[in-house]
Amino acid sequence: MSSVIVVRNVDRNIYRRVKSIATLKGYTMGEALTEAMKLWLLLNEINSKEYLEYLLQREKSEKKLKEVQEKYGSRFKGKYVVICDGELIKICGDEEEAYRIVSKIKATQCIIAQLGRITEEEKRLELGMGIFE
Amino acid sequence: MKFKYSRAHKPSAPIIKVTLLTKSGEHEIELIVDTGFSGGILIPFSLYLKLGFTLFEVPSKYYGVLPIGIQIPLHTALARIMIGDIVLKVHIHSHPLLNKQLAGREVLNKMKILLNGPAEELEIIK
Repeated sequence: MSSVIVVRNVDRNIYRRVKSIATLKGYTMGEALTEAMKLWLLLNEINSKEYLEYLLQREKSEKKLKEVQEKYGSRFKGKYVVICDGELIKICGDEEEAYRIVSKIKATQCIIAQLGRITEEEKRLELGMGIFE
Repeated sequence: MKFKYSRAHKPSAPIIKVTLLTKSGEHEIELIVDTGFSGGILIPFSLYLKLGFTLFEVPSKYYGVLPIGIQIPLHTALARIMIGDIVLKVHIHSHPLLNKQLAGREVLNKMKILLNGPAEELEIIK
């Protein structure tokens, strides 16, 4: 949706530099500014307190899962464990029970994993050109 | 079941409408069909967070490899989705730097799909 937006207090030098590069590359100023604002939003999101908190809790949960696998892995082989924000919540009989438990939990991050099962540590996926379009 | 191609893309692109079954209920989204993506579903991180997928994560670490070889860590959950009356359990991937909504081969390979380009229509064949 195109529209006219008036913005005050724009740095004239920055504006001129953006305009000259946009013109060289065949972009309108509207297109260039929209791209710049999208990038700004993404960078803000990656630095948001919420995201950093999530990353911290995920790290704690991974550490706890390692401990739980070492301690209970062979004893409860095949059962499912729920770990939230670095805390062991419950060892469940099956995956469905684990999902039900998590559905009622208030946490930032949880991992549901099968005990005694060696999970492939890292998996790589192809991201096609679709993410650039 | 048929879905009209998205004309927001040039040329028009095949899409499917998927209902994500989440902690807070059902949430319908449109996904671009992307056979170049080998994962399940890619959604923006804001949506991943909002729908509570951070609570249903898998233990494995996933990385998305860009065509130029750069790897991006992906946050990954396992969730149930519905496409019409088909219910599937698939991986939902996300990262704050990726804001596309894509259906990858993990989902697409579970169905028989006809891409009818001239009619700009995607059909899931039973």
